[in-house]
Amino acid sequence: MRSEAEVNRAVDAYADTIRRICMVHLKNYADTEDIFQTVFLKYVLSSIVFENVEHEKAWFIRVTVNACKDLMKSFFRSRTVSLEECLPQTVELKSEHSEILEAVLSLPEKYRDVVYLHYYEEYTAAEIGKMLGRNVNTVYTLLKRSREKLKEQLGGDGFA
Amino acid sequence: MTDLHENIKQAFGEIQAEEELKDYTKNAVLQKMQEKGCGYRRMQWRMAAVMACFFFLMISVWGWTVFMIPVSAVSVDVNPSVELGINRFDKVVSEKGYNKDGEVLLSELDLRYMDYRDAIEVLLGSFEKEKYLEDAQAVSITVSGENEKTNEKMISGITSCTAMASRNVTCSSCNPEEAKAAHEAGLSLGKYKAFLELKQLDAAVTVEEIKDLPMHQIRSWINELSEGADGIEVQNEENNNLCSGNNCNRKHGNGNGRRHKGRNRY
Repeated sequence: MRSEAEVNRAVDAYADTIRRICMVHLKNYADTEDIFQTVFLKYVLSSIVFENVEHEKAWFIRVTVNACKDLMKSFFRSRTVSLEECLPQTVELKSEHSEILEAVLSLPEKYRDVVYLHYYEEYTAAEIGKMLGRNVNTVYTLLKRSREKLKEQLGGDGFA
Repeated sequence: MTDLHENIKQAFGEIQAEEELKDYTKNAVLQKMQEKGCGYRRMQWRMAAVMACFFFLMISVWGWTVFMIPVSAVSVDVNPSVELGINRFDKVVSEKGYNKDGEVLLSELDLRYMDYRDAIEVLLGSFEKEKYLEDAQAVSITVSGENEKTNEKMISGITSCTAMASRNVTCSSCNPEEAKAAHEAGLSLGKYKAFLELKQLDAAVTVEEIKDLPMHQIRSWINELSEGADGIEVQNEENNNLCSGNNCNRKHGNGNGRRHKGRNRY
């Protein structure tokens, strides 16, 4: 079991990354809180030794993505709608960024992860494939299609 | 970097985890850590207790098994023939009567878990009480240990008993092979040794013939055969001397006649 100091350091280091992944997948703040606890509790109980910071970050991303998917697939969630879901979690953004973010979040779920990991975290298709357990060519295809969809949604001007 | 790339990066860059969310997560995780830590420690204690009980049980079983295994034997033969199994801690862990008198005697005594020297004292005292030792009857004590050193140690222990002083006791030892053969023949160690001695003098002697005989009779038989053999040898030598140069017929078989004589006496 890891120490309190390790937990505090990990929360400070990876909270933003996890928050962004939660935003990509989830629609309410309560679920985000659940995912935060799930991920960091898994970290506390995990005996994995990280080779470097990149390895540790990749582990957090993979665990968060899987936790979000598990939550979305859960029996209870698939048959109920929370009250909060009617009030989507709000993040205050500049109007331009808000428009882009809405465009990204409006993409089908399978595109959202790769868009975030490629455009924000700047992982290569091979790295994303390894992280999400997908074929590299599939990742390339997803990136290509998501780019086309985003251009289509954002009007194309200035987004070439 | 394209505008799309740059814009997406900037848009995601503006999203940050709220401090409130971080603090809430830290507190919740630490609380669960404490709960799990307590549970884990409790589980460790339980496991340790179970393991300790298991080891205690194993050691007890092993210890009891080691304690109960006889590694040497002491046979005491007068008329009653009894044999005591001795464990590695010099305690009596088994007892067996090799004839009816022996069985009756053992049923009246409680020799189990006594030091073998004390058990011998008790046995000799009981022989005395039951009048088995009248007329200075011979007591034969035979030991059979794991090796010669053990035998010597046991004989030394037995001869130091106070009960030995005033009695006609002979001590001897035998090796594990002889002990095994004795048990297969259904004889105590002392009787089997005497049987071997007798068999050297008369090959026709059988176990059944000596099984129920008291030791002093077997001893007398051995002595008679020994004396007889010596007598025959002397007589043969005399006959040879007398007959030398003459055509006299020498008769054989005097020894057998003496054996039958001896047997008829009992």
